[in-house]
Amino acid sequence: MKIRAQNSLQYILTKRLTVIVALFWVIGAAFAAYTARHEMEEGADTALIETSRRASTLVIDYLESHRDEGGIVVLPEPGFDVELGDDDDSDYDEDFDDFYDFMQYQLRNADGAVLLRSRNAPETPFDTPLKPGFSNGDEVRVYTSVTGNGDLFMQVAEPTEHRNEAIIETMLSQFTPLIFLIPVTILAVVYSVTHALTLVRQVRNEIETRGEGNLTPIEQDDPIEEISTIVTAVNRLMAKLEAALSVERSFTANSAHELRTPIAVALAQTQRLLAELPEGHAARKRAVKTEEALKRLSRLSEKLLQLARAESSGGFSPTGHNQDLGPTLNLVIEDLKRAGMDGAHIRFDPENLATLSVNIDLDAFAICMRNLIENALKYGGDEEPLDIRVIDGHIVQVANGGAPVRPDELDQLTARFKRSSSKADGSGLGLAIVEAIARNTKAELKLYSPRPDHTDGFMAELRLHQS
Amino acid sequence: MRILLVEDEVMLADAVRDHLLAAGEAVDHSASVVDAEIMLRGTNYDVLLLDLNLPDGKGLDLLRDLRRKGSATPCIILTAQDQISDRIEGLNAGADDYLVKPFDLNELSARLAAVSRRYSGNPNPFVELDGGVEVDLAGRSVLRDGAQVDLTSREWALFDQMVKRPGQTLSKRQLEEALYEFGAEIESNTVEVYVSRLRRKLGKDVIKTVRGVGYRVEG
Repeated sequence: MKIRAQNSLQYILTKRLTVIVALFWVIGAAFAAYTARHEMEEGADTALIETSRRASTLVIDYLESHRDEGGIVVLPEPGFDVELGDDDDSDYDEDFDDFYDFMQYQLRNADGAVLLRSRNAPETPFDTPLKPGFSNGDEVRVYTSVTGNGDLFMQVAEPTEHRNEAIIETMLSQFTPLIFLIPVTILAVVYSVTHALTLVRQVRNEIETRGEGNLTPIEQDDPIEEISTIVTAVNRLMAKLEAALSVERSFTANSAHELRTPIAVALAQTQRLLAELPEGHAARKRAVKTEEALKRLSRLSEKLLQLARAESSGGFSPTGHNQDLGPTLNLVIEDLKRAGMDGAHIRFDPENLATLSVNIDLDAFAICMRNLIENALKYGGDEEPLDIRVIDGHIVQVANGGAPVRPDELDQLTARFKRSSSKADGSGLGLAIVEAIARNTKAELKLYSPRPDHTDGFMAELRLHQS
Repeated sequence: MRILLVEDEVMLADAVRDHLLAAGEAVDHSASVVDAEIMLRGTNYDVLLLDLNLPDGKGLDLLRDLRRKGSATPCIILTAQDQISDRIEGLNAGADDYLVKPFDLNELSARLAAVSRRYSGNPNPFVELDGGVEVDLAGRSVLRDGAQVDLTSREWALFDQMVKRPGQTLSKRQLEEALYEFGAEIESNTVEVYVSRLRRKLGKDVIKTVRGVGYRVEG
């Protein structure tokens, strides 16, 4: 059994149940002890009264028969032959071995002098007043009754120590089992709570092991009412979230389709117009400008749609776990090469490609890489190819040559519509898109200029999230 | 090349068809999946240009169906779906290339040529033929003894079919299909006329006649 962290339900329940059970047990035992003590005091006092009443006549008779002996008459101990009137050992009856009389008797006259006493009573009078009823001496509790013709006082005393000993033994018999019972109770509570919380832990593990982007319902094998209600509510909430995200995704996808097709028509028709116009025709110049504008519009609409996607959807892997994205990176690079984006200027070492395993959506990752590479191709120098590297299975670096970016400009590059150099025909959205995706996927985009270990160039480092 | 263009956006299809026709390709157009299926049953196309969202179905389903039936017709997808997952799905369905709208018509031509070369078994666009003839399939240029030779679109369309498969004899029927767009009238001696013109420009030994079978070039 394992006690969980202090803010865990198991810890709180165990602690509270143990404290409450132990507290009630102690209070119960204390109340029982108090009641027992009261009853014992009452019983002992009753015994004193009864003893006093029953013994007074016998004691007076014994006094009368032994008065002529002079001094204080001493009653023999139980077991000694009373008839012999003495108490030497030869008169002792061994049947009384286990008997010890705690009661002490004194018969006193009105002046307080002791006329008779039991063998275990002191020769001096008890240090209590000669007044009928109970009184307490230093070491004894005494019951005094008037007897004879009203001129004698029978006092029966019980040592306080004897009474206290009985009470303490009773208390111990009440509290001693608690020393063992409380730890046993703690273990029983911990076991019961641990067992009862198994289903809660199962749900927790199910939630803990799923990834950030996983919005599928939480499964429950054997639901208990309280947990089932929470899980159902969470599932309902996730379904709503999934539906909302799906609507957003579908909207951006449809927007992409609806926007791209008319631009494609306009561009294709313009290119045909350009092809059919004879060289030197006056309209040719305008057709070239229209073609350029349409291409720019095409690029801008693509970037704006990418930005909308980046900011609207989660961007994590749909399974919620890492996925291998080496082939995707390869495909993006091949695609850029095939599309004539100066593919010859891309230097890519595929050595660590297979190790790239991160928690990000395939399309979001492709958008990031495409933008970083396009950015490097546009703004990098022509003297050397750009370098793409995969490090530690989750870091992708895209570095290019060219003049370094000013430090104050570097901080602004992830802002929308911010370009590092006006000569390049960029949309100014590429790094803003990557930054937006990085923000949504717990990734980090770091920009360096000049490149590490160089005096020029620029490097973008995308540190992707791993589950 | 004989190309089937499956595209429901008529204005875009017109521009693409005009562009390819001007380049000497034979182009048939279909605006629906059903029409495309009928045309594919009747003709052996060299390349299929396929849009994905069509009024009566998905282009990918048409492609998968083709591949299931054993068709190896090269296919380039033309679509507005630009996500990498769409691209992967398209390539997994059997597409050879994927071009996202809007695209440059010249890029489309380049991709067509690349796919066509891959299927002909020789992805190298530079071919040397007997008789000192050098051909650049990508740049559509022909040199004879180092001098530029100008070919018309139809001359190129016919010559291109033979150059892509040097040493292989092509039937008259195969060459006719490369020459005309679907439905155009074909004269009985059209192929002979163009072969004769090509021989005049390139030399009489460049194109060999295999009697009763067809024509071939040797590289």
